Order: sequence, then C-alpha cells, then structure tokens
Amino acid sequence: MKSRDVWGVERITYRTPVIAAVVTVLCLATSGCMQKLQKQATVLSAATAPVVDLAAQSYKDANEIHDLRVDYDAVVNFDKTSPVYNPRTIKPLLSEKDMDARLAVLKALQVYVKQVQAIANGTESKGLDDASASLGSGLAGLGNTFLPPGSSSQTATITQGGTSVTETTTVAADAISPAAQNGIGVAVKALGQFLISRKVNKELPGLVAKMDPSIQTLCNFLSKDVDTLKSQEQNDFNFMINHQTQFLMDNKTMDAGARRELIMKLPEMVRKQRTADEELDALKAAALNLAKTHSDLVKDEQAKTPESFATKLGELADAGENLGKFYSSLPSK
Amino acid sequence: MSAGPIQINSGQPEIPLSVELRTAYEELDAQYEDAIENTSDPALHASLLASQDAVGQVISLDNDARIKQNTDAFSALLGQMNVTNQGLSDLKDQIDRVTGHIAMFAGIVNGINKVLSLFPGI
Repeated sequence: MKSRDVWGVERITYRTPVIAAVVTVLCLATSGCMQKLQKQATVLSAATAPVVDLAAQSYKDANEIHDLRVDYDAVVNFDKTSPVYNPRTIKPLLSEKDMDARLAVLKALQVYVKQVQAIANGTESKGLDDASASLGSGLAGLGNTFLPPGSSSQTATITQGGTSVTETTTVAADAISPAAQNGIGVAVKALGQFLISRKVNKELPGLVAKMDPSIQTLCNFLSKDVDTLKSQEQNDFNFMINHQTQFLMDNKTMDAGARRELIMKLPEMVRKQRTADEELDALKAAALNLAKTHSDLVKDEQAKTPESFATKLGELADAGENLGKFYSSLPSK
Repeated sequence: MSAGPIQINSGQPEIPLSVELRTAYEELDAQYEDAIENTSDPALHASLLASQDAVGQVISLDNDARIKQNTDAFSALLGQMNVTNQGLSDLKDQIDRVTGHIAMFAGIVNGINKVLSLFPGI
C-alpha cells in the first residue's frame, strides 16, 4: 500500500490496522479488570437482595406475631384488678422509630450495591456508545471535508454486437471509508472505556474497603436482631399456646363445637412459629453470606497492586501489538 | 425437670441483662416450658404458667432493650454508610463526565462540520 500524497486516501487506509491495534490494546486493558469487577458486583447484588427482602419481611412478621400475643395478653389481664387492664397502653415489638432505623440502613445498603454495580458497568453505557459514534462520525466528516476524495472501481460486463466486453469505471468516494469511520468511533469508545476503567480501578477498591467495616457491622447487627426476634417469637408463641391450652383445660364444659375450633388452632400456631423460625434462620444465613461476599470482594481488590496492574497492562499492550499485526495483514477495504 | 429450676433472686433485674443472667433466665424459661408441655393437670399447669410468664416478662424486657440498642446502632451506622455512598456518587459523576466530555467534543466537531458545509469551496 503506497501513500498517494501527504493526505492521500491510501495513507488513511494504512492507518486502519493502527486504529485496530490501539482499540485492541485499550479494550484489553479495560476488559480484564472491569469484567471481573462487573462479575463481583453482580455477586454482591445477589447476596444483598435476600438480606433486604427477608429483613423487611421478618420485621413485619415479628410485629404481627407480637400483636397477636398482645391480644392474648388482653384476655389474660382483662379481669385483673391491679393493675387494671388498659388496652391503650399496648405497644408494638418494633416501634416506628425502630423500623425506620432498620429500613433506612437497608435502603443505604441497596443504594451502595446499586452504585457499585453502576460504576462497575460504567464502561458499558448507551451514553458512551452514542457520544463515541457521534464523535467518530464528526471526525470522519471533518476528514472528508479536508482530504482529497478517494476512488473506487466498479467492473461490469456488457455485450456489444454479440461480444462480451468488460468495462471498469472509477467513481469518486469519501476519503474516509464507512469502515474507517466506524473504526474511529470504536477507537473513541475504547479510549473512553480506558479512561473510565482507570478511574474506577484507582478509586473503587478504596471505597469498597472503606464500606467493609459498615457492612460487617450491619450484618452483625442483623444477626443479633435475628437472635432477639427469635427469642421474642418463641416467648410470644409459648405464651399464646400455653394460655390457650390453660383456657381449654379450665373450660372443658364449654360448647363442644367452639372448644373443638380452639383446639384446632393450636397446631396452626405451631406451624406459624416454624415458618417464622425458618424465615429468621434464612435472614441470618443471608446476612452471613453478604458479610463474607463483601469481605471476599475487599480481599480480592486489595490483592491488586499498581505494579501488577502495570505489568498486566504491558502484557496486554504486547498482545494488542500482535493483534495489530494480525489486523495489518487483513485487506483494509 | 432434670436439674431443677435455676434460682434467680426475686425483684426486677437490671435491664439489659448480663450475658450470664440472660442465659440463666433462658434456661429457666426452657425448664418451665418443658414442665408445662408434660402436664395435664390444670392446677399445676396454671402454676407453672404463672412462673413462666414472670420469667418471660423479664426476657421480653431484655429483648425490648436489645431492640432499642440495635436501633441506636443502626442509626449510627447509617451516617457512616451515607459518607461512603456519597464517595461512590462522586465517582459515578466523574465517570459520567468522561462520557460528557466525549459528547461535548462530538458536539463541537459536528458544529464545525455544519459551518464548513455552508462553505462548499473549502
């Protein structure tokens, strides 16, 4: 491939493999770390979802169970003279303030995970795609304005007086081919991705490490909450079942049908207790899993050093150069 | 009840309970529960139940105190998490600015192209 003049078409064509090589180097430098980070962010998100869902449901259920116990409490205390039973003094297990504090932290946890995910996926955005394509097309347009037009040949076979004749016609073409224009857009995007990934790799590990003590503390408190709620649920169910049993023991002569219905409620209470227990056990397991997942993420990020990254980048550049040579060997148009 | 009920001094214990006292109350509650579940005598059942209720009330008060303690801890934690979340938000803004700069250059180049198209002689 020869250069026709200083700004000639062939020269632009010759640069296509160079663009490909640059793109390859940038893409390789970007993709390794970012893909791993994206995968880790997805794992973190998967570990977070059950914690948030189960915690919100467990708090709600614990309050509902306790409310039921409070109803049984009313029956036990109604006829007492000291203190006189007053239904207006009843309280939920978790007050609005208690619930709000927990839900606010869970919300902050969701925000954190969503942001980590958004940042990890920062190199794959429609905004970057659109901006890169637009700049690529603009630069190509600028090149086509200033550079001499290229040419392309079209060959056609026509029949004149019974004889077939092959005619070659040359037509004007843009200096920068659509393929090269596309290549510029891809190169711009690769550069954008490289800049983003450099920023992300530099700052995100520090922020994730900074958050880790909060995540560990949160999971620890959730685990403690589970122990407390489980204790209270056991307390509440024992109270309800035992007082219902006492009532049935004391009222053997009551209406047989009504008594039968009350007896049949006892196994139902046990089933509810088991379901609540399972829910709390699942929440505790999810909290432990989240703590471990986040801890693993921090350890993994800390294992990366700038030196190892630079070495890796060098290897990637070599690999990119080799790939660039491979691209050079391909037909450019 | 194999080992007999654990004796706890009468009177209201200090809430929150110490770990040892809490364990003692839980063990006592479990022993009452075990006895209740194996009694069909209404009078004995009522007597055991009254005692269990007293123990259960102390455990409930301690649970309530623990919930309140955790509420304070969660509130304190929220502040720390929000600081890191702000840092992430700033990083996200910086990333968006890279895209914004490319879009801005694209706008400039496209603007130049538009101007140049008005001068076909160039």
